[in-house]
Amino acid sequence: MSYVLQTNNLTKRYGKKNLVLDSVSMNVPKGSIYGFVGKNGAGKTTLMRVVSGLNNPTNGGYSLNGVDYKDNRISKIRKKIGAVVETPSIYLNLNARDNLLLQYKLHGMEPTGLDDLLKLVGLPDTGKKKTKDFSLGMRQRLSIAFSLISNPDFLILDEPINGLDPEGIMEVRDLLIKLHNEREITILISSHILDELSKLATHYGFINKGTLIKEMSSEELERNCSKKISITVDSTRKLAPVLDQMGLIYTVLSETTAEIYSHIEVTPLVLALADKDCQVITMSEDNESLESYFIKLIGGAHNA
Amino acid sequence: MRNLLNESFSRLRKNTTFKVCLIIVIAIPLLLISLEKILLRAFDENAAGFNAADECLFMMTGMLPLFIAIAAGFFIASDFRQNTVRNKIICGYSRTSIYMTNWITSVCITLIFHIVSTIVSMVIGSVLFEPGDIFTKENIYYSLVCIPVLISFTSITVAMSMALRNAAGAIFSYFIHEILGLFNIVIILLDNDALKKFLCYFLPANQLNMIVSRNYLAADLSMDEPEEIMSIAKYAIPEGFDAAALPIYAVILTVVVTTLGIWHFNKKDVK
Repeated sequence: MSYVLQTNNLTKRYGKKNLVLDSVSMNVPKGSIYGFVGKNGAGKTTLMRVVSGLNNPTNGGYSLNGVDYKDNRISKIRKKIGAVVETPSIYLNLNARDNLLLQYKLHGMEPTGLDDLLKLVGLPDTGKKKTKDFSLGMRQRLSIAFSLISNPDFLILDEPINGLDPEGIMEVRDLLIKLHNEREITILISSHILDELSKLATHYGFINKGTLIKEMSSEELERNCSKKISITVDSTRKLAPVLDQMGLIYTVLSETTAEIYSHIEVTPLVLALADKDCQVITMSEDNESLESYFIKLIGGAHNA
Repeated sequence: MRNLLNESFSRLRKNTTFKVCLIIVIAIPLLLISLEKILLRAFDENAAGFNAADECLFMMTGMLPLFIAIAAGFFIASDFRQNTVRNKIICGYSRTSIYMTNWITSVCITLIFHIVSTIVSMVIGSVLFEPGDIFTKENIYYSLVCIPVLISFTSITVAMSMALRNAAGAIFSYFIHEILGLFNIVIILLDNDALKKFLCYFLPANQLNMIVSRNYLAADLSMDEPEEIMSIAKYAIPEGFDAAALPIYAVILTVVVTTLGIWHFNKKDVK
């Protein structure tokens, strides 16, 4: 498997005491959408800043497309990388078009695809409106447009859906899926909205207190996330003895609902319940959410 | 770096602060020379502050560092304030090339201000008074010497703005010259004449004083009887090494400050 980004014991310290990244070794596979999960202050943004070249690592290093960050060729590699780190970096006294024109100049490119790009990020009709009058979502999308100018192979997006309304979140999500599918762009993305991240990511990295706890693919995550059956019956008093008899692990939630954590065969269970005159109203299988998996991973909600 | 410069000059063309400063740099000599003419007409023709264009040639030179600090300093600070400097780093440009782009843009601002203010003073002075001896060797010499000195001022503005990364850098860069000017008091107390002379020539504020008065000896104002010295050698070109001292010191200052500025910018994280 080839990797777009590999960090090797990457350490970042602000001042002498503030250790933000502690020997992080992460691998972002080519063609993946890598969801970077961690609570506030875990080190997600710092890692993205270091990888984007904004911050210098204190120790360790990283490579982009196999090229070490100290190598002279790295500036050439960076030209094929787009990044939106923290707040959108745009000229507030200019309109969207002028902002993009400057960015095209920065890349030494003719602005041939400017209109298409504005359309792609949903900003085709902003006209002469200055970006200081844009909503946060519009600025965020313009920032994403900045990062797409050079037709990047790799996108680094730090909380790109932060502050967006539900419609904006959906738009950005659809845009990222489109970019990933149509242009085969590898994306490193962090977000607090883990549910949203789980709709995108093909790989995950979990970071806590500057340490990378675990890396896994979405398939592995699915296997690791325990499944549960939510069952609604007319009375859980009739349900409980049947589940006990079948040796299943469960929790009774109310008079009519319960959750079963063991693997079950549905037909024998329904027949056994019918024997005891227990009526099954609904039954559904749910996956453990990414959020609860993450909380379990870092050792409970008190750590989150 | 060509792309960086291209982007930087495109931005400068749209920069309001630069445009306002340019208008002021044009307006001040225009107004002052016109006012001088009006006052002369209204009162006493013999009490002229100046009678010919050559006398008001350097009237803006002393004020230019303020407008350079504002225009260049705010131009650089805006890149940090809006975090747009990130885009350049993410694109793969080295910090040295980003610094040098800001330096080149700022030097261009300086040259534009210097050339425009000189031309305006020359033209308005010639129209309202008489041309006088504009193209004397002294005027040409001091006009040329003025360029490296103003560039050294600009280099300090760039270094301060890149280090502090906000408008305070621009303001501080202007006042640092005033603060350094206080060293003239220390210079008076020095016994060593060579050191005294070196420090006098090396301080940028003194360099500008010499250029404005078109007389190297003006730097000694704080040490000897100023009026006497001024009257002895008005519009003089120094001889020997002294003729090259100002540009040499200005270049040394520019190189040292710029090298330190680049080193600092490379070392620090970008917000």
